[in-house]
Amino acid sequence: MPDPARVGLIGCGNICDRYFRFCRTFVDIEIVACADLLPERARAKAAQYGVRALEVDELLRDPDIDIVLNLTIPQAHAEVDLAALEAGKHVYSEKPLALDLADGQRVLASAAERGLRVGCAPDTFLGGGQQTSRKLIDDGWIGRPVAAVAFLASHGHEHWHPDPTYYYQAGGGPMLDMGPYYITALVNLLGPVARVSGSTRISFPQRRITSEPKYGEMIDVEVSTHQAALLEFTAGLTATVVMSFDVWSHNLPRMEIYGMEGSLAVPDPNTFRGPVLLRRADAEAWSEIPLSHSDRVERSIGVADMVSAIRHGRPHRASGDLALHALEVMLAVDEASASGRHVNIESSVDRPALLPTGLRPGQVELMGAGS
Amino acid sequence: MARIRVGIIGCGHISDHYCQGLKQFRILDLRACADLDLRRAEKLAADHGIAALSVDQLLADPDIDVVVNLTPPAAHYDVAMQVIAAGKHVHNEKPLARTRDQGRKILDAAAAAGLRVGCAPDTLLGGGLQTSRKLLDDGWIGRPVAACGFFCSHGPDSYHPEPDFFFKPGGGPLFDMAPYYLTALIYLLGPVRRVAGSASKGFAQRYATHPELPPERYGYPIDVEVDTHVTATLDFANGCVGTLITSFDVWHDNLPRMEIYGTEGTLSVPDPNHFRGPVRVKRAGADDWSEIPLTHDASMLRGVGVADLAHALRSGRPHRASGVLAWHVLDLMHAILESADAGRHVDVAGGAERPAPLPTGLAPGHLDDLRS
Repeated sequence: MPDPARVGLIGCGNICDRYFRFCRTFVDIEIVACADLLPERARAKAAQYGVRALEVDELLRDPDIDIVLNLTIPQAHAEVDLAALEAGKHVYSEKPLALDLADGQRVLASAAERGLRVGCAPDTFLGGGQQTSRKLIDDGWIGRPVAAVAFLASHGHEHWHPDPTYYYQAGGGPMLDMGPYYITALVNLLGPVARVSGSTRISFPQRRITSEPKYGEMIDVEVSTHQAALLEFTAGLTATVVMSFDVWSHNLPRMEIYGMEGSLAVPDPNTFRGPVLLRRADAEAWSEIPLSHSDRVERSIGVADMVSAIRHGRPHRASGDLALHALEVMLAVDEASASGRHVNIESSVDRPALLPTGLRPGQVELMGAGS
Repeated sequence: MARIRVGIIGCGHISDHYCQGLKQFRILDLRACADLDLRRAEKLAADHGIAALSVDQLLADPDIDVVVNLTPPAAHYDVAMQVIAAGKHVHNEKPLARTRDQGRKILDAAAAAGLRVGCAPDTLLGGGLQTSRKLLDDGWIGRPVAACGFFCSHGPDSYHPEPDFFFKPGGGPLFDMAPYYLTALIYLLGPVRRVAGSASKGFAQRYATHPELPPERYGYPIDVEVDTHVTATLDFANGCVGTLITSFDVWHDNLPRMEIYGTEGTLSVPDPNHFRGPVRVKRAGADDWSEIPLTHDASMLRGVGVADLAHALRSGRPHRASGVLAWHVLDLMHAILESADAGRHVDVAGGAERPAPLPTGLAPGHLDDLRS
């Protein structure tokens, strides 16, 4: 693979600007082309960022592209991943990996067969807030973790998103929308999940759009929008997790990890930032801990890490295995509620390695490592 | 108005608090107390100007109408059955009994004898929960859709002189603290029809560190035999999904005590282990939480449930901190642990309906509206 690795981006929607911008901060990767089902969208982004505009098929066939960055809509993730792998390219996908487990497994099997890598968002757990939390746990500042909580409670997206219907259709709902940040962060901190239970509901069978241009239209809600989950980790602790689009206001923390010697208040896992707060058993107050890792990274650090991992022959952190495990956990919540049974999680995954401290901007590897 | 004559069995730590609480209400005539340890009964009796009796004397006393059963949880069942057999109404400390079967037998025996069973907690009669209930019933947050209740602590190792029983079968944070949270949630939202649970034990051993322990006892180890972090989801009959944590494994947290999420806003409910506020509301679109003035008295103490039972006896209405409600709570706690153990949701049948709210504008020391 040449240096920098050549990335072809498919799917020129909302999120692609961030990838275009922040991939530039990593010396190891360069976006060289983009494609979209709507050619004019691809041409506009290509002109804006000085890359080639291609048809999707052209991009997949192009021998001068090493990695496909899949930013299509969730319904297309698995299909585009498989096409990229068949074309002999590594692939990094936006979240979620797929909408069902079988599709996700097909993607990973295809990659394994061909000796290619699959990466998947979110990569926010590689930001300073989550890495510092991880380091504090690994370094023993709260002792062995014994319990955790994570909460995302909002009133959904119909008051701001121009086209919010898909949040309430199959593949939507708060768990698949926001759960990837929270579940991935929990697995990064605590290891894999062994069993899931919970209860979920549709609180509002219909929701009224109050954003333009569809103001006043009604959405028929097809998926549960309040999802309360109990996660039992292989390490022997439980996490209480609520993901909701049905809550107007609340006083819930984002994420807390409770340990034998103290508690850790983990920042919003949908960002790369802090603050990280620690309160040891005997402490009178919470202390904000300086970040051990940079919070000045953005979406695309997962791509950079995958490229570096390929070069150095090490596992990459925002991996397809991690994403598949998170997906299985997320899907198990509705399944447990519907079946009335706790769901055993078949997949397992090791915690991705902590990023080294002392990285310079644009790096995911210490100078000289692996060379 | 004829007063209801009350006796206390069990003169431990909480009994003094009850005596003070019972004396707040004119309808109650606190007359006697009893304990297996007669000296403890004599001490309480002297402090409050009542008679110290043996347990048998108190049970046989024709001048006692209601017995408040403040014995340890393991004795709740036996004592309650003796009280009923003696033809008296009984109000138990929480939990109603150890097992569902015991709880059911207490209710059945009382029903057969035409007697009432009450049970702690009675914090639902306090200003904090009454105001929460009124706001909910008055529609300030619309229809409730979800709720949470969180009790996280590091357990009684350091504040209780003999914390051993908290970590033995029948103990744990669920049986100790969930009665407050479940009773309050049921009082606000109605009965639960299904639960799922997960439970774990964060610490294999505890160390008793009450500051008054003698040096040779300070730090003595306790083997933990029960799960000390219990979390559950609750499906209420009205469709609400509740999330519950009770824990002795958490040093510090930033969790709210209790919140009710509605179609039009959110209600922040005060600590259900107390009678007071604050109660806060944030309606959809509001920029800030508003603290709502309490509609009901919050100065009462433990024992107010007995006063409510006394008023109920006089007027023939249902009493609020009832054995039926307590049985539902007991059933739920067992169902949560059963669910965690069996790996499946547990259906819960026959939950209690919500007890009625207290009227507003009550005269001091009264729980029925004398104007009507």
